[in-house]
Amino acid sequence: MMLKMAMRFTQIVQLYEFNGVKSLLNEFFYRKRCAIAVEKKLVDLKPFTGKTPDDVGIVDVDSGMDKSFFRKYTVKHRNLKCECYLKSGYQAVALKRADNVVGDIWYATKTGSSQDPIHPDMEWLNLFARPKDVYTFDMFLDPNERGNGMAAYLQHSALLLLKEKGFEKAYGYYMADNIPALWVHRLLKWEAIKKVYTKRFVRRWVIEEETLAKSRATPYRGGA
Amino acid sequence: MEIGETVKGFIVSELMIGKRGENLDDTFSLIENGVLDSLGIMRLIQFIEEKFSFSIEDEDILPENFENIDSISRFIKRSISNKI
Repeated sequence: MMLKMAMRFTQIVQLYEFNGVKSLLNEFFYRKRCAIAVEKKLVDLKPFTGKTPDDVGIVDVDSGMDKSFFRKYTVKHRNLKCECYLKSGYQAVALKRADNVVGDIWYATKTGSSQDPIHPDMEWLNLFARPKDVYTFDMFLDPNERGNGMAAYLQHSALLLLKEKGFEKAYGYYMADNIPALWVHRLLKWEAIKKVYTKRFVRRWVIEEETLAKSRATPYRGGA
Repeated sequence: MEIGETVKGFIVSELMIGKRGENLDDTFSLIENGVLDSLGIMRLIQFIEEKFSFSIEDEDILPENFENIDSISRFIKRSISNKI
C-alpha cells in the first residue's frame, strides 16, 4: 500500500514538474483516450544502427542491485519510483552518464513475477504473457537528455538486452496522442496489435477494444 | 514559397541548429541522421499543422512519410489534396 502511494506521489510530482498542471489533470481525468498496444518480435531485432549518444552507458538492473543505485538519479523523486518498482519485482535497463542515472525503462516477466497478470497494464490491455514474453513499461529520460535520439537508443538497447536474455517477444503500449512515444515505437518497428479506448477518473475504465488485423497476441482474459 | 522550401527552412532553423543544415539535400535522411528524434517530430508536426492548416492523424505519423524533405513534401501535398 505504502509502495503504491509512494509511486503515485512520484508520478504526480513528475507530471506537474515537467509538464505542468494541465498535463497532470489530462493524465488522471479524461473521457476517452486511445492506447495502442504493441508487440515486438525480439528474434528479428537488429543491432542499433542509429547515432549512438556520446558518453552514456547501459546498465542491466535487477533486484540484486545495490539499493543506492537509483539515488544517483539526476531527476529528483524518480529514484523513489525506481526503488518501488524494484521492490515490486520488476527489472530495468538504466541509462548512465558518468556516475549518474539519467534514464530508465522497466520490464516484467513471467519468471521475475509471481503475479498474474505480470503487470497491471496487461489486464486492461487484455494481453497474456507466455514464459518467454516480456512486458516493457514506463520509460523515462531526464528532460535534459531528451532529443538527440536518446529515447530510441535506450529502448533499442533494452530490447537487445532482453533478446540476449532469451526473451522472444516484448509487449508495451503508448497513448496515441503522445507523439514522442508513438514516434519512438514506430522507428523501432513495434507492431500495433490493438487499440484500447479508455476513460479515466483517477481509476481507468476500458470503453472498447479494437483488435488490429495483424494481431497474433493471446488475450489475457481467457488466455492460457 | 514551395512546400519543400518551407519545410526545409523550418528544419534548418529549428531542428538543425549548429548542425550545418544550409546545404540540406531533399533526400538527406532526417531519421538516420538524428534530426527527427522524438522531440523533433513533435515540433515538425505542430509546424506543419499550423502552416498548412490540416491535422495529422496518428496513423500518418510513419517513418516513410517523414524520412526526408522529399517524402514530407509529398505527404503534405497528398494531405492537402485529400482535404479538398
